[in-house]
Parts: sequence; structure tokens; C-alpha cells
Amino acid sequence: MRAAALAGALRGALLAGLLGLGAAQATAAPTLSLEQQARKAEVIVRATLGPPAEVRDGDVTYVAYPLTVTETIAGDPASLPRQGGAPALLFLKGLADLPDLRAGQDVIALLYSARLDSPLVGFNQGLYPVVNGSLVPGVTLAAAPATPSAPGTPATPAATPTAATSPAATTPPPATVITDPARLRAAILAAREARP
Amino acid sequence: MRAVRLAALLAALGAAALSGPAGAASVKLRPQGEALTQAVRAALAAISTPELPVTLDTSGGPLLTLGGAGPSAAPFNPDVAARLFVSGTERRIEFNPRGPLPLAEAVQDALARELGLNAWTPAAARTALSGADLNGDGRIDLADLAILMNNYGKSTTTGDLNQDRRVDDADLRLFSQQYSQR
Repeated sequence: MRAAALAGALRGALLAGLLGLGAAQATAAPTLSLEQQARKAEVIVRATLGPPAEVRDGDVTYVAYPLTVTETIAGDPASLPRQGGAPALLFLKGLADLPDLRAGQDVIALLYSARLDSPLVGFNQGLYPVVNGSLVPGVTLAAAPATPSAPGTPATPAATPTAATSPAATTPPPATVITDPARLRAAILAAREARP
Repeated sequence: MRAVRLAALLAALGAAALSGPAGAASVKLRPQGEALTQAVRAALAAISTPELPVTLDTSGGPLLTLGGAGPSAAPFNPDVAARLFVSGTERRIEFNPRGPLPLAEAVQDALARELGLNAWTPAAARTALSGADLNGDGRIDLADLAILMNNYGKSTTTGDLNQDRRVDDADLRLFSQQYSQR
């Protein structure tokens, strides 16, 4: 009986492994709220990704996605690295845990302008795909203003209202999930205007 | 031959149900440099208990470095504490020297993800660590089971998950436990 149960458990576990449920990745980046991302970003654009191309810089190879910028929300897209005469997203080739990108994708991207392993604020958190005019997946906005995290302290997750951690709070205010890119733009600009 | 192996597997599973828990776990990592090696040893000490000492095995596993080099010499995103760089069959966990977390915390965070621990605690280590990742590729899968079965019944360290110098039913039970929890 025990042998049968163990064999069944082993079969189930093997199946789970075959389905790819056992993968482990080591990338560690504290979660940033949307407000924190907006305040850190040097350039924020809505853009369409072009076809990727490899770019060599000494020993380092990057995968570059040229951008057709359709809207500049903040900063100067001209300060971004360039590929084929256009501003581009450059990612270190071989880097794990990057977002799934494809040519033709419409995105709102919160970016650093320097050439890094990933230009996205929060490593890959600052990328918001737009599909058929809607944010997919929807973006959760914190109901209360986010508290900037101290150095070395993981940031408050975007989906966790700050007031929910207060002992005095009895009912945490509901978070809001938005799918309208215009509302995301407004939230980003509001967060940047509120910068200390 | 396959039928013999299957019979051995089922027999071992049955016998293993009567076996005790793991006596030790080793983690295959290759930290480079004194600071990183000390940080890794300290992290492993924090999840070790007398019942399940967790030790460092530098004979394989991912390379751990402070900063990148060569093909991974790109500057770090300032928000990343550790990144995983894969080149061919080599995996490198690279720590950001100016990252958002202190090195000790970054090591714990990255290793927890690498090893599949849901927290850096002895309890989580007991749940997740068995040394069943026999080929050190960061996952426990059929390749590891094949290695274990190839050494079943032998006096060897490969596949000897409880480190009693024998690969037997106790090791198979540990493998089954760890596989089902991944």
C-alpha cells in the first residue's frame, strides 16, 4: 500500500517536472510599486518594438529591440541607446528571467537611459504590454500612497496597500486594477509630480 | 533490464517508507572570492540544524560571482540584487556590488530562489533540500533520477542523498519527497 502510494506520488511529481513546474531561477530584484517605478524612471514611453538584433560591445552581446515611440510620457527618448538610428531597449544576451518580448508589441516602458543588463526599472517590472488598446495584464494601483523603502529594504508590493500593514487599520482600502493606458499614464505622472 | 529496474524501484519505495529522514544536505555552488564564499557559508549555516546540516559542495553547480565579467560584463540594473547569466551549459549567479540589498541578504534571496526554498529558514531547508539535484543544474528532474538509479545499490557518493556512503532505498525516498515538492 505504501509502495503504491509512493509510486503514485513519484509519478505525479515526475509529471509536474515534465510540465516545467520545477524550474528555479536566481534573479533577485525587490518588488517596486508603480509609484516607485515612476519616480525612478529616467525615460517613460509608449512604443512599438521592432525586430530584435544582436549588438556587440566588446565581449558583451546585447539583444536590441528598436522602438517606434508613439508617445513620450516623461524624459527624452533620444537619451536611450540607439539601434538602427532609433532608440532601443538593450538586454544582455544570456540573461535569465527577462520579459517575453516580440516585434510589433505595443508597450508602455519605464526605463533607465544607460546601457545596462536590462533597461527596465525594477529589472523587468517596468514593462506594461498593451494589447488591443488595453493593459494586459491589468495594473494594480495601491490604494494608499506608497512609502519609499529604505536602502536594503524590499519595496512594498504594488498590490499591497500600505495601510494594510498598519496595526491601526481595520479594513484595508481596496486596490484598483486598471486596464486603460490613459489611466496608467495619469498614475505615472501623478507619482512623478509627487516626488519629494 | 527495465523490468528489473522497475521492480527495484518499487521495492525500494516500499522499503523506503520505513526509513528515517535525511541526515545531511549538501549544496553544489561555486562561490568566487573570499567575501562571497563567506557570505554563502554564513547563509548555509543559518539554515543548518543538527538534524540537517547543510554544507557547501564546490565540486559543481552554478558559479557565484561578485559582478560580471567577460560576456556578462554589462553594468547591473540598479534595482537587481542578483542576476542569472547563462552561457552554454554554464550558469552564473552574479551579485550586484551596488545593488539594493546588502550582500548577505542578496545571497540568501538568490539562493532561496535557486534552491527552491520559500523562505531562508531551517524549516524551509528541511522541506526543499535533499541534494537530489544530482547533476547540479538547478532543478530536480528525470536526469537526476537516472543518475540515482544508475548508482542504486552501490557504495558511492553520487546519489547518496543521506550521505551514508550507500545509494539505497533511503535515498530513493528522499528523492521522491523532494521531487514532489518542486
